Amino acid sequence: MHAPTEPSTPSVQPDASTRPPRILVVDDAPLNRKLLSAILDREECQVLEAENGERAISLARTESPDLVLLDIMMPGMDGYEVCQALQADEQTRSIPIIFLSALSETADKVRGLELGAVDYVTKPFDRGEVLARVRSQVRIQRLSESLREANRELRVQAKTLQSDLAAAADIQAALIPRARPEAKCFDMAWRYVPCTSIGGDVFNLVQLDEHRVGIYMLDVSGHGVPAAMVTVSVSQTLTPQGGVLTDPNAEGEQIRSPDEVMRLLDDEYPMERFDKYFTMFYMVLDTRSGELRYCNAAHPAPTLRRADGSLEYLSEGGTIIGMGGVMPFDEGRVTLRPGDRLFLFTDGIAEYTGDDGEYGEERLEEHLAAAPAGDVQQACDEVVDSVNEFGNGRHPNDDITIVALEYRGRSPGDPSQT
Amino acid sequence: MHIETNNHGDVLVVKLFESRLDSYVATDFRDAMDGFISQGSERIVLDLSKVEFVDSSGLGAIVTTQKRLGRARDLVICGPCETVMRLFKLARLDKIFQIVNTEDQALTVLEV
Repeated sequence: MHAPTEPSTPSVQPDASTRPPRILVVDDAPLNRKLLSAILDREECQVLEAENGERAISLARTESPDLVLLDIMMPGMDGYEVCQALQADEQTRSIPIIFLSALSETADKVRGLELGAVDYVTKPFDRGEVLARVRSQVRIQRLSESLREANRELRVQAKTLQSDLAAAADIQAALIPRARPEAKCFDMAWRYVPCTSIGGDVFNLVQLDEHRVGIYMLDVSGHGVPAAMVTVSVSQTLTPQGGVLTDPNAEGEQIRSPDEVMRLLDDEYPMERFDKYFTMFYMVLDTRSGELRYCNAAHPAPTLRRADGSLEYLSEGGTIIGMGGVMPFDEGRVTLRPGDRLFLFTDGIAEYTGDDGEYGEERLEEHLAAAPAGDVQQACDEVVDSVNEFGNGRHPNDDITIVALEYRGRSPGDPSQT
Repeated sequence: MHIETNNHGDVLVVKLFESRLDSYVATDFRDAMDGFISQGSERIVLDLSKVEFVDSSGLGAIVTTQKRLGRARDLVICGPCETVMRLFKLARLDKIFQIVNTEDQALTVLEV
């Protein structure tokens, strides 16, 4: 088979592994081209011929051969120059080149190989040698081609996954408060550092009625996409319309007690459902009186730092959500006074592991106890900074969330405010 | 995952030879335990003495096993190190699981 006369076929062949190998023979001597064509024809190769360097480069671009057999000594562009030109062009760079020449000096072979040729055949041609070298290069070329193709597909898939993850992260970011609440009776701030772009921690605050807010924080087992999707589902359930935090059909008190909320969630999210469980802290704060009712479902106990510096831990509650009612959930009560600060966090902080071991509960407690009065955002930032410093900037292996709330109490003369 | 099993009467003793029962091992572990239960094991002693760390995925796998067994009393955990015990306590699962120090104690609990 000889060079086709019709214009170029598409450069990417869908059936690259089954079509006959296409080989470009470049030699200024018609006799040599004829000889090589004859050898290759019997191998059922498709042979393209070029009588000089310029023609070779143009054919390489339009026909995308699987292999180039390239003479060195040619009038005009010599083989080395052609080789350099093919190597410099993105489109032809990956086509393997075998040099053909009467030159048998080692220095010439080395020069050819250094320019990027894959092999070398010396004239006069030995039929068996030419075929063996051509076959092996075509095989390598085909394998590389399928690798490149697979690589391309993987890159496309990775890119799709990346953008999906970024979209998921945006959705998840909408589950936490957009901005610090504008409440007069308390101030609240937070830091949230997921260990991948999305995570299994979530928290939010919900205005339950005129003067009561519900605040929850939960940590779904595992992390990454599956955990993040559970946070989306649970967050939906915990919206004011979700039917869990409040009971619109109840006569009298419609706001559910924290322990009742945990029981409902435990019912709604049995471990078998998503193969996930979660720990959770939920509290209802009466912003006028400071009365705080809470239930802690195996979540790290929030630390209450009283205005006088003493520490209390909100640990009343029960086991993880998803166990199916094996243990009762108890309610805890405490009253906040102006100047008290409450810190909610996930286990990603205490369990953060750096070169020197775990960050640890003690270290966290020391930080919370020592946090100077002032902006609650600063208190959150200081904890996260201290974790980063401890780990020398190493990325966390679990999601890290901390929320700080300072109770201010009701200012006189404004009975309605929250 | 490296796991070894022994039968003591109708009780299956499962010993996990992994230093970490975390998200990399949890699925295999859960599937293995699932397999034992499907093959008819109704009472299991889980020996965690070689395990130094359990994360939330690992804990989930243990909880799933316990739930699949049906009755909480049919799973006895033995030999958890301090770190693992701390996790059980934090999750308050120490009140649900039966946790003892040694395999012999576990077998005694199950009256083997």
